[in-house]
Amino acid sequence: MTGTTLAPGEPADTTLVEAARRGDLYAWERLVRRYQEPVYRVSWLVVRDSSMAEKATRSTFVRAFRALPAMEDDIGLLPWLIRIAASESRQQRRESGRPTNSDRPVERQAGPHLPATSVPGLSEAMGLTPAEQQALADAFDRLGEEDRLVIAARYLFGLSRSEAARALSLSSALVDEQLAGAVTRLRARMRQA
Amino acid sequence: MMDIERHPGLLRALPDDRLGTVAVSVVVSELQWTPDVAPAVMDRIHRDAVAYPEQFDRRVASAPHTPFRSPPPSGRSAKRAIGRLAVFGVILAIIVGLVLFAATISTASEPSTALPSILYVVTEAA
Repeated sequence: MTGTTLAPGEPADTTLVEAARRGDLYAWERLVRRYQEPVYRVSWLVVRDSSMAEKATRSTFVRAFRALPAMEDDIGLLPWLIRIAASESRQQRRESGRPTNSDRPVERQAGPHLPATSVPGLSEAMGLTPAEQQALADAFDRLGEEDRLVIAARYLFGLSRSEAARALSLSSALVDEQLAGAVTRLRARMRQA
Repeated sequence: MMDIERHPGLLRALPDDRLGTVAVSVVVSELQWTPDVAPAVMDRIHRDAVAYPEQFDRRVASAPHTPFRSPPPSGRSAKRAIGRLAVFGVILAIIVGLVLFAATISTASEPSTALPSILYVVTEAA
């Protein structure tokens, strides 16, 4: 999964979650640093705006900390954070009055930033011409939010079907259906390009 | 943009999982930077702890010491601790003063009656 490869000696998510549930803020800070990139990416895929995505990422981790006692043990931290991030991002978008599929400015905002880590499939994508990449990005942008999220959950974050189902509040069967439909629609958008 | 008509055919030949992976990679790779939200998040949680101590203290009070519970104290939390200590000291001084004052009044108004032992000792000491 993106952002979850642990260095030797790094405590597992479950260990840190348990400590954070007991009120250990340092443990929660470590989890924030571990997952802020995937959460930011989810938020950005929903709101398509760097500043709003950053706000949504912050509020995701604040809300998640408050909700830790109620977190189901079997859900896994990343799917749970993705679910909250999608919800917070929709809220941000509603408050801003922006449409679902707007332009996606990616300028760097003020404040501390970290260089982004690589994404799966990037070497393959780099083999495409700039025009191909643009066509593919445009086609992806014209997908609905649910389609973008299910593709990201499965192919960017590498979630299993059941994890994706939890992240997107769907049944496992619906994940497959949504994913197949999303890729079909992606192909259709590419044909329209 | 002349290549757009030529290349979608090649992309469409990719199986679903590869196409999905490449598509989301192209889009997300535009994000060259990730904002470091940890300082802002932790600051907000600390402020919540001050604003809603009942909710927060219930969780923190039950927290045993773990290897992860050893962050270096920030300047702000050290100042808070000193402030709390100062307030506690002032309250303690007021209480002691009141006790001494009450004992003095009692001694002055009823010199012949026996004082409660604790007040007597305090008065003598004073």
